[in-house]
Amino acid sequence: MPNLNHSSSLSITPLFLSGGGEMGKLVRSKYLSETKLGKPNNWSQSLQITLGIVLNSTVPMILYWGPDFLFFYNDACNVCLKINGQYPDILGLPAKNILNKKWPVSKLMLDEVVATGKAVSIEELEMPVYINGSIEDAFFTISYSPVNDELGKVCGVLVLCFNTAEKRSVVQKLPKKGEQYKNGINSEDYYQPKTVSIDQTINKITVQQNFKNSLSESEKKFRTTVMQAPVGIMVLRGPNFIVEMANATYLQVINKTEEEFVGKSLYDVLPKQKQMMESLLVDILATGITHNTSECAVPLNRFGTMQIAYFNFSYQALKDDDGNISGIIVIASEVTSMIKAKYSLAESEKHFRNMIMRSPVPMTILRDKEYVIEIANIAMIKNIWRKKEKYVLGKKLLDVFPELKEQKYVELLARVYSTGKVVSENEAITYVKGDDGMRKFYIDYEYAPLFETDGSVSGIMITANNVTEIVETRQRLQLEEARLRLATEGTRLATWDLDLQTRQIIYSARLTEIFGFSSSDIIVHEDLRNQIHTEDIGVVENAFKEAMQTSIYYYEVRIVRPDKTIHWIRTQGKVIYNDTNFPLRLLGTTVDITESKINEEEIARLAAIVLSSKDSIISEDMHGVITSWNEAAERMFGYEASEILGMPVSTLIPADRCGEETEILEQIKRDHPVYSFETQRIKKDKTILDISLTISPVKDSRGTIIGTSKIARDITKQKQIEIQIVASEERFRLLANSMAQQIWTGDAAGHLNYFNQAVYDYSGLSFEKLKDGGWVEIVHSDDKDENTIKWMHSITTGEDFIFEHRFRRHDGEYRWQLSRALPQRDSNGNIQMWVGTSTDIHDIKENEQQKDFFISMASHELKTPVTSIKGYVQILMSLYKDKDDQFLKNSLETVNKQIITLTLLITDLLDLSKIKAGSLQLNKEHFNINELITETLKEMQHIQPDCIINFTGRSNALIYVDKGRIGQVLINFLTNAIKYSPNCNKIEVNSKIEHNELVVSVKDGGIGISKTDQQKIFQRFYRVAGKDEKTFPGFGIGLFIAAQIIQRHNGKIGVNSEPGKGSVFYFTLPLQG
Amino acid sequence: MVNGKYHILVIDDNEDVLFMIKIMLEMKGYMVTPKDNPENIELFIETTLPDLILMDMLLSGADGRQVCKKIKSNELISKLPVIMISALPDAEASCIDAGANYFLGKPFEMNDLFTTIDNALSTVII
Repeated sequence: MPNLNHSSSLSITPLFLSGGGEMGKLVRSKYLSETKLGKPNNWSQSLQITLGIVLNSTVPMILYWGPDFLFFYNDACNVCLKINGQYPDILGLPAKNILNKKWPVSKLMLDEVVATGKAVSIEELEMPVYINGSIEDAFFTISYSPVNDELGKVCGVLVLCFNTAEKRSVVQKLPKKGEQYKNGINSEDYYQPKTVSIDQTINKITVQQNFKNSLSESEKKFRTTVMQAPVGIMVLRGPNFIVEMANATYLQVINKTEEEFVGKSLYDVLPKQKQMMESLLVDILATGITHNTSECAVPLNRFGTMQIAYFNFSYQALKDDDGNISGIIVIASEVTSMIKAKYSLAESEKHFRNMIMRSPVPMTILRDKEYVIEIANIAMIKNIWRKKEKYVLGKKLLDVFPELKEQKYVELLARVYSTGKVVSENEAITYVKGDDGMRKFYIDYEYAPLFETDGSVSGIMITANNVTEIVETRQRLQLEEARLRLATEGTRLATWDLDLQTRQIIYSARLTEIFGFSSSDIIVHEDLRNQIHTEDIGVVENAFKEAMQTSIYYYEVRIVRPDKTIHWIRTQGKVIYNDTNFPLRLLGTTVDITESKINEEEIARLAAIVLSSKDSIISEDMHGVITSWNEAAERMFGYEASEILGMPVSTLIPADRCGEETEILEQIKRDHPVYSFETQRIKKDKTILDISLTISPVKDSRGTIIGTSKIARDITKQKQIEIQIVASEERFRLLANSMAQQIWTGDAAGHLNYFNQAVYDYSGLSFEKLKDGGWVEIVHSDDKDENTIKWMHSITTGEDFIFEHRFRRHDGEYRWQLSRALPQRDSNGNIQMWVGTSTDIHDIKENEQQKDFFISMASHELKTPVTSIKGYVQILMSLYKDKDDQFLKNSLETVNKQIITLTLLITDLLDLSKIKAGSLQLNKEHFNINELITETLKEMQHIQPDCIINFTGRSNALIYVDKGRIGQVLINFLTNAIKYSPNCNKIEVNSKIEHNELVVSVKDGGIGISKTDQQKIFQRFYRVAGKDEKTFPGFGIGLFIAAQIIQRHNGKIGVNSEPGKGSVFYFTLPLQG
Repeated sequence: MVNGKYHILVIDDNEDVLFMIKIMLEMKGYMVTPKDNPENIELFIETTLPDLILMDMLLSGADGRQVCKKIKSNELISKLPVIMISALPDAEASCIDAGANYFLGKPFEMNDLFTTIDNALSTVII
């Protein structure tokens, strides 16, 4: 049943229009536009009900409504008429405007139905319809049924359509056999009801009798098609009405088989029919007049169950060629669904009154011009009228409610009567005096005329929806809004009102400002949502969801203004519901809380700093009472906050410092901004704590000092370290001063800034005299320049300083000192200071000089006898070289060799002493290295004739060196190679140029040298130790001398060796020029 | 030249060395006058005019270089070649400075001595 919803003033779709598929939608959208009918709520009940049926029916239906036959159709029509989307505009328009050419025909039918109030049906109506983009013919069996209004007057016509295209195509095939049948199809009466057309068709069938015996195959097919047609077809012949044929549909209608029926007399098979039908059939045979029976109920066995089906039967005469009537064709079309639809319509009409009575919307019907209250539902009587039913029903309206006379309604009712037009108004103020006195209502009312069959108005149906509460709520809200607006104007609060249906938002100008627009900008709800900080959108969404459940809307989020600045906003709101708890609006306020948020954050940050600080942070009021106490203070002093808060700060101050606090307070009062000092405090366990204390005043907003804040840092460890440093420094001084060695330090720039006692004792000078460059004065004048150069070199390069120089002692004597200084670097490698020592090496040096002098003298003295021996040996060798005394010759040879060795040793010793004395002189000359190598090799060959020494890679390098000395190095290399090689036949000398240097190397296949020994062999008196040591005599100074010689030539000397595989000794010399 | 032989004056304060050199040179066919000190040596040279003077650098009581300088500063004898020998090989430079024409370190190879003398004598002749 349709149920009108009048509980809200909103434009909510009436229930009767809900559903109904595509057409339902169209109708819903259609009524919003202007039509003759106006709002559906104002439509007559009859239209509402009928349209409800039409729209929801699966049978194609068309409804023509009112005097203009306004056109409605349903989705089922879409399927068969294919007018969906093509003619949506025709909905609700007068049929005249839609049907154009067809209108005269349709109007005949419609007028007949309206005039007679009876159903009419047309079969096989050919209608051009819009199919697949073109107009095509379609065939329909159509039933026109009247729809009565509340007063029983026909106010509309319901049309049911059955697509009989299939049947039609079957019938059309017949004429195609013969040209003479064409006229039936192409009749000028195109729009004539098809009964006529069918008549002609039947005639054609009659004619077919002559061809009966010569039915072609296609005719057989036609017959088969007829047999299977969905419309029941039966042909009776002769006066006895022998059944000539009956198709399957027909057989189903009469519930007989073909064997039981065909070829037999109708009356034999269906005896009951004789009584009902005989006169009719005879009449048709006699007159040829077609006879129709409509809507015959036939019980049918369908799908195993008995059902009542409704058929329209058409009985038509069959004529032979001579025009004689020879039989009757009976066509049975099923109209069950149409009938059912019609019955249900009638049924609904019956319920009309019931519906009024049950409607939750106040309704009443007034009759006559006296406005007699015919019926009124409970909603009307109880809620609006508030009077007992018996005092109302059957009474004249104005008698019952005389107060209406003074209101506009009397006039309006009269107007409905006179014009027949609906009058309606929303939120009309109405005063109604009930048993409980006069009350003011806001009513959405509609006065709808009820017509008599003659078109005159006989009554008025009134619906009066009480919207008082809604209107009053709204008015109250508006009032509150106005008040709020007034209240918020002075504040920075923005107010807004969001329609939850349309999302339209009404807002105060402040809202645009908060969101960073100018107050004249127009913004929509979406703009605001888009500006929410992406991370906070969830917060808003959750707040909204919660608001839908709790009605309370609240959130604090960040927004990003168009200028990209981020602001915090706080929004508070409330959801407003209608009577049915449907959320209508969301009212609220928004305020920019950026500043307070920043403050909050700052306070939180400060609190976090205070909390996490490792320093105690304590505040006191001006009376010295502790007002705050952080965790670090708990740890430092041992008091829990709960114990110490409210206690005087003197609790923490040792007795001997009690004056300190008063003094500080005085200082603070005198506006001493911050006050820092080191002091002591007492812990809970009574131990004394060294602290550094920073005190600053706490001021209120007016700048008045209201207390102090103290930051206390535990400096116990620092104090201990200081003490340790002092102690360690003292120890160091003591140590330094107790040393005989002179110790001194200098800064990074080389200025000496500390001397130990030994320095003062030695020099007899004070710190003042020695500091900075003063010490230079005690350096011997011969050493000063070099000393200064070397010291500055170390300062600039950071290289260790090692130097031997003479310092003047306090008694004026100069003594040799070995001074060493090393740089002290910080973690970054920067020199912080130099620490130096000077050791008195005067005695050592003298001893050494004496030793060197001795060596020098000794070697010189040794050479004289050696010269003599060597000379005589050579004389002897010369004298006896031609003698056969081999023993003598060998002996002399051996003596000669040993003398050479002895000579070399003596030379080495002499060189050594010279090197030590610094008197090794170089006599440089230009020559080709290859010459020197060749000469030296010749010499070696002379001494060691057994050794094979190869000279490879001749470089031809010109050098400027002391030839004798370089030769000496080469000899040293070669003698070593020979000495340490058991088989001295793999010695190879090479000279080459590499990296702009001459490289001369001597390679042997000897015993080799270990890595450790390689680093030491160029040192003085070092000899490779080993069990074979005895085999290799020498002082171990040869390589030392060689190294010294090469160094003095600015060359390099080195060895590459592997034990057991031999060694390669090499030296490099700069190339000449 | 004396009797077709080159006359060489040898001065060394060590007698053993002096006579060893004398034997060597005589073996080679030179006429040798050995002297173990440089006393009146200038006069002796002026009067005998040896072909070559072989002289130790360090002489007891005298410095061979001073002797050499005198010889080289005496016009009469300054052209005479002087070979100085020494156990101090580094003395070469100072000997050359003093005017010595050749230097030979002690101990020396006999052949080196002969070569040096040959060179000195041939230089004079030319």
